[in-house]
This record gives sequence, structure tokens and C-alpha cells, in this order.
Amino acid sequence: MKKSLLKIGKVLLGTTCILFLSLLLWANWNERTYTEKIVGDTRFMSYDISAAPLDDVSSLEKKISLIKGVSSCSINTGTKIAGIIFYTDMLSSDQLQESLTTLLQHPVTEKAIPVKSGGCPVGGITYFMLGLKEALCFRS
Amino acid sequence: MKKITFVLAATVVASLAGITACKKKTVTETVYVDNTPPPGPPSLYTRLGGVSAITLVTDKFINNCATNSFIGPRFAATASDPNRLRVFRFNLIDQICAGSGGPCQYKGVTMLQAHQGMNITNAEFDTLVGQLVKAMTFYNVPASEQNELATILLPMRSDIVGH
Repeated sequence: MKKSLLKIGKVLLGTTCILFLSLLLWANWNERTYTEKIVGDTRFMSYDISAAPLDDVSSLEKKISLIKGVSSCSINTGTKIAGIIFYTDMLSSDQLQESLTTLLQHPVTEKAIPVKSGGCPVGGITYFMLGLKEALCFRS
Repeated sequence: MKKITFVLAATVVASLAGITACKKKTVTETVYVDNTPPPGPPSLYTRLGGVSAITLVTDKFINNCATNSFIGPRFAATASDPNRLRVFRFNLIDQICAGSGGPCQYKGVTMLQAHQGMNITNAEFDTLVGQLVKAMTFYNVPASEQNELATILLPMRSDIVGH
């Protein structure tokens, strides 16, 4: 009994190691593209800014874009939602919300944009696998 | 008198020699310039400002689309998921970069494959193009470069609309 449990344990350990090494090899097989090498990762967040004055949207978008770590900002004057794309290695979502509140001098809250269907398709493999591949890729 | 004639003759000979030497130099220079291939006009990629400028315009474009009341709901799911946004954004940057003559290579699926079953309308496509123009105008991309980029991207309409 003890021997067979030990054998099962060895097989499981071996399989896990092989699986992990295969994933590591797959993630590092292709070199990163030119864009992946030089463009940083970003995140998109949307905020309700209805409390802030929206007289000059263009200049407000420019001001928000100047926050360190923010790549771009777009404001919908109808829904009063500001969409912001920011670099994750320079700014966290909490820091962004804090900076927005300071800049606008009004409280801002996160507000999701309503979703229709599945959105733009971008690839054949699942997004979980893409995330895993990125996490395991050590090639510069 | 003889002396004066000699000096004049020497001056004339020296001047001629100088002129000939200058002419030779000029000829040599002309030949050198002729051998150099004339520099071609800078590519659209260079005129746009390279990957960094294309990235700024792309981020603004994605943001414009995601916050737009009409087409936003199509983009919201993609923009809100960091992994999907990553692939979508890099694909867009690669597409504009490669299309404008840059060093990138688009590795995503074809536009026809990507938009199969989405039933995108002409009105939605026109709004999307409008958001791209808005993004380029925001970053002061000249009209000539905007038109040039549009001629590269607009033929994709038939692969995107109505499938």
C-alpha cells in the first residue's frame, strides 16, 4: 500500500514537472515581437466623472493624459464616463483614482461600460493561456 | 616691356591652371554626387513618428471607441480584460506600423476571420473610422498623413462589415 502510494506520488510529480517544463518551453519558444519589446503593458479603466465640470472636454482629456503613467484619456460628455488607458508598471488603479480626484477636485468612481456581445475577437487561444504565456516568458 | 609681357603671360597661365584645377574638382564632386543614390521620401511610418507615436494614437483610438455610446459596447469587453486588451492593442499597433512601412509584423488573424459572425454594420464601421480620425487629430497628425493611413485601412471595410 505504502509502495503504491509512493509510486503514484512519483508519477504525479513527474507528470507535473513535464507539464511545467512544456509550458515553459512553449511560452519561450517565439521571440517577442518588435512591438512587445518596446511597448509597455496597459490597462483600461472607466470612471464616472459626472461630479466634475465638463466645459472644456478636450483640455480636460489633455490634462488627464499628462498624469504620469497615463497613456490616453477619452471622455464621453453624454454618459459622463472617462475611459483611461494607463501603464501598469507606472501606475495602479488606486493611484489613478486618487490622481483623478485631486485633478478634478471632485470624487470619481469606477463605472463599467455596458457590454454588447463578446467584444472584438483577438486570437485563437484563450486569454487565460495568453496571460500564462506572458507570465512564463523570460525572453527579452 | 619684355618683363611685363612675361609677367602677364605667367599670370594668364597661372589663372588658366587654377581654373582648370577648379573645374576638375567640380567635375569630381559632380561625379561623386551622381554616384550617391538619391534619398527616397520618408515612409509614412517615419512621418507618423514611429512606434511611440503610433502607440499614442492607438491608445486614444481604443479609448475613443470604448467610451463611444454607439460602438462602445462592442469594445468594452475587450478593453476591460487586460489580456484581451494586450493582444488587441499590440495587433492594432502592429497593423498600423506594418501598413505604414515600419519594422513590425502583424501576427493576428485576418480581418475577415476576426469579424465573422459579428454582423458589424456600415454605420458602426464609419463611427470607428471617425474615432481614428479624432485620435489622429488629437495628436495633430497632418491631414496628408491621415489620408494616407486611411487609404491603407479603409479597404478592410469589405472584410469587416456584414459578416
